[in-house]
Amino acid sequence: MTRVDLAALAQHVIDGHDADVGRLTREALDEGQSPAEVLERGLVAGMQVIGERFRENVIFVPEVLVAARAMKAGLAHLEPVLAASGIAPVGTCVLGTVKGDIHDIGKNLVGMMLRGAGVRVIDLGVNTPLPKFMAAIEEHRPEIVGMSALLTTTMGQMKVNIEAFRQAGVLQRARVMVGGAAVSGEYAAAIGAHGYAKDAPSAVGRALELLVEVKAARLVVEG
Amino acid sequence: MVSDEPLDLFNAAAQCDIWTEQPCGARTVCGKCRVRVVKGAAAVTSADTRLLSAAERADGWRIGCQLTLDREVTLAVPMQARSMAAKSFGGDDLFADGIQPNVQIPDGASPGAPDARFGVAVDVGTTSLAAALIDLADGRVVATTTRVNPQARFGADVMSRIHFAQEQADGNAQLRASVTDAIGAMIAALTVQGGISAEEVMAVACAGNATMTHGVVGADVTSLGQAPYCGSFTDERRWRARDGGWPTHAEGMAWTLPMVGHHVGGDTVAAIVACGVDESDRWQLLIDLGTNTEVVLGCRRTLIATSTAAGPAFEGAHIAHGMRAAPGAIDRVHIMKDGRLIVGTVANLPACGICGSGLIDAVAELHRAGVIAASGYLRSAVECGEQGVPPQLRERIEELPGVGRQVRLDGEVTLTAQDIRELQLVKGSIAAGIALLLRHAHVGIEQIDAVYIAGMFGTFVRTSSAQAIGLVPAVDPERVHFVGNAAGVGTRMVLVDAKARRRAEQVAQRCEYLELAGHAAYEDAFGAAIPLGAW
Repeated sequence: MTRVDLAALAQHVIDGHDADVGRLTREALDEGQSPAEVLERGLVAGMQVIGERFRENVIFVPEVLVAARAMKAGLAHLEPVLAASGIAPVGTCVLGTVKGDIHDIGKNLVGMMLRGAGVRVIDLGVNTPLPKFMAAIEEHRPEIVGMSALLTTTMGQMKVNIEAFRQAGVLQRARVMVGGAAVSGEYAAAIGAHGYAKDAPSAVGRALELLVEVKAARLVVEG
Repeated sequence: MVSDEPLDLFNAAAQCDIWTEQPCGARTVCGKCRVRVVKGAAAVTSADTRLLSAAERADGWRIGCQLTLDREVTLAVPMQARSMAAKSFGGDDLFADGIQPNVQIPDGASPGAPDARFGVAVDVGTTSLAAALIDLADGRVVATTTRVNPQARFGADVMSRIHFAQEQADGNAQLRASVTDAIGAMIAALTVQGGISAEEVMAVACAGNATMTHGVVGADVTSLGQAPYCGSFTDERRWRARDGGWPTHAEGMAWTLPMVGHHVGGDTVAAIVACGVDESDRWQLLIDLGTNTEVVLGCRRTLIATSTAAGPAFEGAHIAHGMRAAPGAIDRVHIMKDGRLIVGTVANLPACGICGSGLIDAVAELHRAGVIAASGYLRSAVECGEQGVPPQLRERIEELPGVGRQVRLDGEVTLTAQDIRELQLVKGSIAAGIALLLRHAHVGIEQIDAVYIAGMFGTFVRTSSAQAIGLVPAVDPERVHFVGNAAGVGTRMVLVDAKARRRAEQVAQRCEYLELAGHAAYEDAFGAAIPLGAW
């Protein structure tokens, strides 16, 4: 029996065929292909093409949403296997939309794409109060904390949260990224965030850069 | 004009009766409020350095929202930076079915004074205020006046103003004073125009969205900016007009129209009454196009409303050459079979930008001609050739480093690939809202008897284009009606006629609200509504 072609799997991700992605991921795993390979060459490769096409404005939000969902179908099979085989995720990210805000499409996209990049994502959902962020940071020790806000009336929470993170020493072990329609690169810098992106594909790129930074810093501290 | 103290541009210009725009709410993001110093000097701000080229700065251009005038200077305000506002309150035949007086005309008015029989209907828009002096006996419009809502200095949109109230200790008070002073001045101006005295004004009815209504009444707006986005009241509020500082008869009453809640305000209630959705036997759709586009689906038995955070693309923000419908704005676009592209502009002046209706037309026509794919992708000249697009149209497609791909429409005015995406986001939001309302009520598009499109921007939109891109469902075009300032018409009805006032009260109580943010099906509906195409 021919082995599942991972390039074909990647193409299904790009085309948004969630049923095919789920089925082929399952088959690839069952026939003994390496979970890391299936993730890297099947799912991540597909999302990378999506990211490039989005940046080139060839595709837009719906195509990214549909591809991300297809990838999610594959991850549903992969994640348990990856965890069981002791393959460590590339990093951990805690995500949430701040208190008072219930918009989440962008955040959901970022979460899906980060998972596709091998990051363990803890999504706290919307209207997330500061204590919930703190508890999740305490429990999961993420390298990245991502906050989203769509409205000018709620983004002030980001500043408040970052200050609390600073006081609690969180910023020594993690980097903060912010995003959302109301946010800008300048606002992000002004409130002390380490990263900002205006769309999900760029957010993933920036998050991965910050991950490398954090890990290097941690090695120095703990080493 | 002369002043003893430094003034910001908005105030200085307003005193010269020039109304300036702040499309991004003074966040120094869009650069569209730029003005030119013709004589004298103005310091260069960080926004000027960021948004203007060295040549432009040397030539005297400055970012208007950051400009403080503290010495003698002469400025030129370009058309694109100006706001134009003109709202109507309906025709003379509005009360053909008779009037049930709303307001008691007092007996024993002061000796010698004529009967007080006038009222003022006020449309408290986020961007502009409009007021009409109405003869309460027959409902006739005697005079009208319009001005930019001075709350604009605290933010162009509702959220920015709520943010201001959150940050400033006396923010709510400032918001209130700003709008009520303006309304008072409009009432005074109307009495002069109408040749009557203030004592003859018996009633003032105000309709606005939830934030505007809270502002007029002086209630705290901050809860409107945090989930679940509710204000502190939704019912009709009444007070003695003179207590609020308005120039009326001593017994004159003022009131705000009741609201549905969650940003669906008295203005939407007024629009529902004006269009008769609440009395219709068949299902009707009302779309109030604007930065916050409210959509109402209803009939005699049921009313459901929702608010789609559409965004200000229709008013020009985030669009490369976007502007309001002022002279020189491209407001229609047509492509002939041979590929010739023709534009129409407001007042037939040379094109200096593109307004909302022009944007919708441009995208609809370019899509029809094969230049823009259904996904919203702007094809390259070569790809267009493969699609059979005529050469003279293909030639308009340019690739600009830094900007990307764009279509040259007329002179300097282009439509960029990013502009198309901005329009898709807006229309996706509105169309998704409409689709979810229909689904919630289990109503099919074929059951819709009428679609009313309200909002000042809506008057100039072509039905065929709006339906072609999927902004509005593809019902029989004969069933689509542009109703202009329906909120103003409804406010006039409520002011004059007790039956209309009762209807407004019932509409506010009956109307259900559908929250889209967090709705399980929203993401799917939004994604499905982004591509271009009729539905």
